[in-house]
Amino acid sequence: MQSAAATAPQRTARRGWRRRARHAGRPAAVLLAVVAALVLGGGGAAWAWWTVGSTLPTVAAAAAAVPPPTGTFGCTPRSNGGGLLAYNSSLDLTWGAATTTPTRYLVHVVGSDGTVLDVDAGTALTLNLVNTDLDPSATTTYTVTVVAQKAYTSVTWSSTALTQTVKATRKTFIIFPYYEMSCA
Amino acid sequence: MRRLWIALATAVVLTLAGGTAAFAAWSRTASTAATSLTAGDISLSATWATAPTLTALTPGATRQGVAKLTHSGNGRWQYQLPSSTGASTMSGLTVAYTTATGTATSSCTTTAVAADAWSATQANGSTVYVCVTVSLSTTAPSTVQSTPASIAIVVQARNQPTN
Repeated sequence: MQSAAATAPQRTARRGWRRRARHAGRPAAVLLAVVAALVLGGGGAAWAWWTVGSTLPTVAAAAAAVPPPTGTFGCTPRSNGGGLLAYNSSLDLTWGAATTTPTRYLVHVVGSDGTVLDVDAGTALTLNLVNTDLDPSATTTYTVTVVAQKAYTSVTWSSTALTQTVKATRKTFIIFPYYEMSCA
Repeated sequence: MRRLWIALATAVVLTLAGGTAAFAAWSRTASTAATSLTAGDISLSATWATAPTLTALTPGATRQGVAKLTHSGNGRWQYQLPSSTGASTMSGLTVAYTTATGTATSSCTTTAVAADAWSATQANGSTVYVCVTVSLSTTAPSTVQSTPASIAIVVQARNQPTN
């Protein structure tokens, strides 16, 4: 018959038994919680998703391109028809039509004297440079490009360009200056 | 007196032991017929019923094709179409999906099919038609000219339970 007050070894033994019991119950509690989670999860973990993939045959895509003016520039100095004072005061540039009719041909001129000129040539295939208000004050070299442009609903696409260099050479007849156009 | 206690203890032990021995555990075994288990499977066939023509695209151009998706295997299924198709290599090029009722582009509807989302559950072994629309933006810049792209659409399918 034990005394009402347990001995020190007895108290130690009881505490140790309680501790062991708590530790033994912990894994069981964890297992129970896992099972409950699986059940409450609607059994989703119990359904395996099989996924497969299949690729449609690849389709190549390419954007269109605006056809450029064809061939090379024709460059023809034009005489002013002034007899002894005749000189090539203007110059015709010609180019070939793009394979599909563009909205317009756009001519861009940049001169060594700083001249910048843009001309909407429409669908014309010839351009007389002097008639486009070139006004050289000295011998000047000009770089001329022409592109075909196609206008769409919201944007305009430009083709690659044809390029030609022309020169206006300053000359003097007695005291009167004049310029001769030539294809450089 | 001692003999009496011994006799009494012996009787108790015999009674308890006899009671245990008097209980017989009855058991019986029975066997079912042998049954084999086979895992199910799922496969998907993705082909063009009508392939789109995507050459010479100009700003604002729209081209269509019809994809045919056919399931085979067990159970019901769902499909998923991707948002990533390779169209992004051409500025302004987009791909969109709508339902289709047949193999021709004339069967394309206006009912959108969301990309990167699982479809409704389809019947086992069924075929689904999807309209694929490829568009070049109306504001696509001139630098896009002659730019190539490869449209590759990887369709995903997954199984669904039979009930």
